Amino acid sequence: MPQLPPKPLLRLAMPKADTTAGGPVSFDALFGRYSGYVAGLAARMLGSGDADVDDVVQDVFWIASRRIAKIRDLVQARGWLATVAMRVVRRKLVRRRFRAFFHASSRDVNVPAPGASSEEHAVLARLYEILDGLPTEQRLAWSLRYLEGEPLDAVAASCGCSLSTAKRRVNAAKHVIDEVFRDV
Amino acid sequence: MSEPSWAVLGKSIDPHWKVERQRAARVAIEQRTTKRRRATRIAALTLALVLLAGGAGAFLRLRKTAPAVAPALASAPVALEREAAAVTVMQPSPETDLEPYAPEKPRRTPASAELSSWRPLAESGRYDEARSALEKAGPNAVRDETADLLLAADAARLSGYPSEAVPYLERVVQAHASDPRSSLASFTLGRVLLDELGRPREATDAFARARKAGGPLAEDALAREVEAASRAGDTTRSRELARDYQMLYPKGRRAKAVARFGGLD
Repeated sequence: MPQLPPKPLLRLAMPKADTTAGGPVSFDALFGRYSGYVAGLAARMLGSGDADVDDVVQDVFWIASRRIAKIRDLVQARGWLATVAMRVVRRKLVRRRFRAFFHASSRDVNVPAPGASSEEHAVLARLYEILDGLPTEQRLAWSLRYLEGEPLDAVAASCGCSLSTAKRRVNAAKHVIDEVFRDV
Repeated sequence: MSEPSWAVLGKSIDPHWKVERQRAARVAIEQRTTKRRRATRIAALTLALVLLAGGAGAFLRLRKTAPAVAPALASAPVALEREAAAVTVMQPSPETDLEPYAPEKPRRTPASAELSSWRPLAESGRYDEARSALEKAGPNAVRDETADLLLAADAARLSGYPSEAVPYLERVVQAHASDPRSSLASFTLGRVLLDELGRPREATDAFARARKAGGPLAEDALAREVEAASRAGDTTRSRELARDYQMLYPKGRRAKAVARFGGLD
């Protein structure tokens, strides 16, 4: 008599939650996955790689640690972290501008771009000099759009404004930057 | 030069986010969390202490002002007890009874806007204000009750107007003779008449009534009766009373003074 193949055993234990797709998010997983992203974002927005970036990362993940219970999805957490990071960076830029108002010498631009050529270094230094002179909202919108490569709707979401406002800010900053680099 | 490719340049920006910086950031976040927890605990503890202190303060204030805001309770048994305690200020001290009367300094309670009538003022030991309020309110402000009459007498006597205390004390003695406090009223009347007003003859009668009522005041009343009779110039009566004292209280506290005033020494 032919033997029937053994029945597959029923799985009693619940499968382990896949934190990359959805479900409860741990702070360790969030920090491990996105701390580099937030640091890079902060460096591009600020144009520096020093203690300012550390401050931004700490601030953003400090807020995240308090809201961790409300973060349900590790994938969607990226957008939320970007929005929080933009707010923290905005505060930092406003403070930096306030401090610059009382200082005679301008800030030394030191963009952390290890793989860039000396010509690219010079372009980046000139770019951040121009960005330092732009209104903070325009600077952030343009940086998100062109340095970060985000689409306009993501720029609007991160800046907490409407799409048309985001477009207007990006275009205003682009106009100034294009004017400068056309002459170079 | 052509316009630079911003996306390429942006990607070249790298903040060197290495393991050490990640670890430092984690440590800093944990420190902040610990600090925040500690600050929250301290704030909660402080708030709890403030609330507790506020509650205790409010409770004590309520306890102090309760009789003042509810003068109608004056006729209640508890208020009567309090009034009786206030009247005990008048009770004779064994050692200083024959000396000029020196009332204890009344205990003052915090001023309160509600203390507008004379009764709560007198109850709280503010006799000057109570007497002024009583004067403004007129004679009908005092009820014909032993406690009220004694309180009014206290207000007058302890604010420096002993003559105004006499009618209240006489009213207790005459109209409330059955009240256990009437002997105290008689004794106090005798002291007011003798020590404050210099009317020893009337004081003799008042002390006699206090003596006849018996009780713990009888011995002192007899001794003061001897003194009053002596000061009134009635040496015969003072001697007779002194002999009575020696017979009733051979080892009495007032023996020496009685013998002196009675002319027996």
